[in-house]
Amino acid sequence: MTAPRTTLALLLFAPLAFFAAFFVAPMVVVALSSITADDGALTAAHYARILLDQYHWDVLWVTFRIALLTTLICMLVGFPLAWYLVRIVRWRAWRRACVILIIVPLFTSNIVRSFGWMVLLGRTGLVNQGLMGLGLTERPIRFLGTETGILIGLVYILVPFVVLTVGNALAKIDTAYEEASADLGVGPARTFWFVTLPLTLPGAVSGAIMVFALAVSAYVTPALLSGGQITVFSMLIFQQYSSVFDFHYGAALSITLLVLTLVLVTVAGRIGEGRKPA
Amino acid sequence: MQPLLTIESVSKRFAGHQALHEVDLAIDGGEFIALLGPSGCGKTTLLRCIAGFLKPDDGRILIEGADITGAPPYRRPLNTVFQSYALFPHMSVADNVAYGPRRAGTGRAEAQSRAREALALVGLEEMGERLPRALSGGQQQRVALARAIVNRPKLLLLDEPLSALDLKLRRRMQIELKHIQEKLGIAFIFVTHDQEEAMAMANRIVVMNAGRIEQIGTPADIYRAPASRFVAEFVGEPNLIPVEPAGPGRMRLKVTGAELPYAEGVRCVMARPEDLVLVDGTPPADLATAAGIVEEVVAVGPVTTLFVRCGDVVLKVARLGMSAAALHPGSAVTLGLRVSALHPIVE
Amino acid sequence: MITRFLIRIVALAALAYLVLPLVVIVGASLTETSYLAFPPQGLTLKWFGVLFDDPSYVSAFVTSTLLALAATVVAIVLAIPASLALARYVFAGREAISSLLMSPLVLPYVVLGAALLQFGSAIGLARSFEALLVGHVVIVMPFVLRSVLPLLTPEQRALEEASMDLGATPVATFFLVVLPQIRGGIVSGGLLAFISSWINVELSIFNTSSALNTIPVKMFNYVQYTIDPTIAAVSAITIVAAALVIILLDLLIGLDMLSESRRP
Repeated sequence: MTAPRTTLALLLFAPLAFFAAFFVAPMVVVALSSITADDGALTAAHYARILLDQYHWDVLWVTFRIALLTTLICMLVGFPLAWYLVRIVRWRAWRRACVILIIVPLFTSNIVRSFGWMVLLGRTGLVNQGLMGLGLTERPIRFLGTETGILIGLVYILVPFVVLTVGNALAKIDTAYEEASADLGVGPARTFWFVTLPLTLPGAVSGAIMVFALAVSAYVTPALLSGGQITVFSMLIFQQYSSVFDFHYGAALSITLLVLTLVLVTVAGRIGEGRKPA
Repeated sequence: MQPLLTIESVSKRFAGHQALHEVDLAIDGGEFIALLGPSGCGKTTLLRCIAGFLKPDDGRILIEGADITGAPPYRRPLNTVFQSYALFPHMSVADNVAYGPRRAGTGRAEAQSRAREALALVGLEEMGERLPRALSGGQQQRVALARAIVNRPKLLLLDEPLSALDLKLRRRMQIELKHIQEKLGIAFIFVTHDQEEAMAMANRIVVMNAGRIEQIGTPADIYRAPASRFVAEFVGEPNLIPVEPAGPGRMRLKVTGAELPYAEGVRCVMARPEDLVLVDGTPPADLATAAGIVEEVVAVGPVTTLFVRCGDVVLKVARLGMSAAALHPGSAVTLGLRVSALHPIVE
Repeated sequence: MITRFLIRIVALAALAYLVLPLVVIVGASLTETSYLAFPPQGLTLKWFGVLFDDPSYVSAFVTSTLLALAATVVAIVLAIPASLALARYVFAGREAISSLLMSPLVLPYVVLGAALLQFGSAIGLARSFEALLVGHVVIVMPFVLRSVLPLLTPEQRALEEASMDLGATPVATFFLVVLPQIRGGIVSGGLLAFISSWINVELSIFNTSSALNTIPVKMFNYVQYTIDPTIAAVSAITIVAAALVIILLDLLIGLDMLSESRRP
């Protein structure tokens, strides 16, 4: 109080020093290495290589397509589930149990969750058994090593995230708005469309963009469920660092993914902040 | 004798806003001072400077002659009752009250017994084991008071301590606080925006506006002889009657035509609503009169206020009881006012 | 009514979808067969025994647990002063510092892992417990910050002022008033931090080796080549551990505090 500057310096010194040393410095090293050649000269060659190679564009396209579909499906599955939990469930114990069911996967490693799907989606897995038992298909469908498989796994990992954000937004809506709308003679469907949805939209949109950003940078799930058949962007980065050992090129790929993610997250933040209900 | 607290031209700025502007104030031991003003006038800032939560940009604060301007709050011989009470939610009521003595190095048993004494003083000796949130708002307020006086400070600062209470409880606590203050002989500085509260409790009222002190005086001074238009309007309901020059050394009331000695910078005079009377028949010689039409009658039980139009001025007339409620808007009345009761407002 | 019914159906299907893989893993870990089978053929705990007889699994468990514990403790020690500074003072660069400290929440872990490997190689820290630790501290600290910051409210500030007004020094005030008030946030943030560290693959994978391995990385490398009941047993342990932590959290703070976004 008496000397805020000294107090502030004392409080912030350790955390900032730690972050400078083990977060900022490594990032700077990567950024520098992405624009230098082996001999230390400045070069844009690594980025040129990313931009000019058709293969990278293919990988980017696959990555984006998967991320986009993941986001869409997550919203379609997550919104009704959030609505169900906030607006339909009346029994508190059941809601509590459901929330636990949604959070348990979040607290479980991506590998375990992806591994579960590897078992379920195999040729003789439960899913194929079920489909054949119901007569929906004659022969087992191939899921592993396909985009469908990766999609199922990614949606699985990211849905809880949507349910929690949208559910939170829904729970915060004052039902007086909806009552006011009903009082003014508007039916439930149009009330949903004109009142409820716009009020949850900022939360939902920022949630969706976060899901998209996480899907774009996902590594473990695509790696396990692709069975080596499909490559996404983060796998390219890992290859450079673990088997190709081209750190400069890997750095350029990292920075590309980083910038992409940061842009998405910033946009999500803006949307989340704006248009809050009064 | 040296004052207990001396404030010497204290100034404080917040990001382009002058919260305090060269404030001077001296307070003696045992006084009950009210810092009165609208929100944003600087009264809380001044209190926080005295408590040590803010450091003034300029000026000095002394307690019994010792400069404490730069001293941290925990080295000042004074205590505070916070607006939110700020009771520690994780401690029992007794531990809350014993907190001060414990920090001063008093042993556990001794601190607890002093806490019991302080709680007894505010009538809560039975509540020591409870947690603060189990108490009512009024009880929490008393605990906050007990916690602040247990160390017997020379000076107690109270930051709108009654603002969270309902009106009835608030009135009762005003009287009780006053009694406790007289019993302990501790000087109180009481921040409030409620002029009735200030008048009911304080020996002296400090009226603040826009970071400056407008007037320091007893409640009667402030009410009868406000030093400025702001004070007149902030404290009570004034009738501000315009005056015009009337020859050398004289000025004339626009409403009644009565004449007064002229004073520099005066453009209106103040009469409180209870200074105005309704006149039937021939008025006494010392009353100036004016004819008017009743515009509105507001009766609230003990007092009925008439709004009477005299030319282009509307005057408020207060009458005891509900009797005047028989008058109707549109009634013609004659107002009388005693010229000696008028107070010129210097601008 | 029809809409409500449809929402119910979709919601229950979604819940089933969320639970199914976990049930399958726990079930498959109990099979008597030497290949993965669900529903399990017979019931046995022998795969858990195999696990605990394998020193490489035991040491990976130990590494993961030590790593998560150390990262959580360091993160808490760093996050408390940082959150006090961010909540209490208005200063130039406050927004920037807050964004910096929170940014690991949204950065791709793969990028951070690669950066730490590259940087670590430059300063001779690569592929060591310390390299893992500093990375984990960076990614888990935001969880602690985010749980503690909302507790440092203006009301809480008034409590600190009351404490100092009553004669307590800043240090005494911290231990007697601030710490008891933010303890809930430290516990919940610390649990989130612990779990996030314990299940991390993307960051760890760059700095682990065959001698220094965490459970998730070991599983990741294993699962890519072999699927057998042992791996299901490891997974089952992590699922049960997660469920226990969640129930603990629910009892401690109520899970409403968790109805905010978390990185998967």
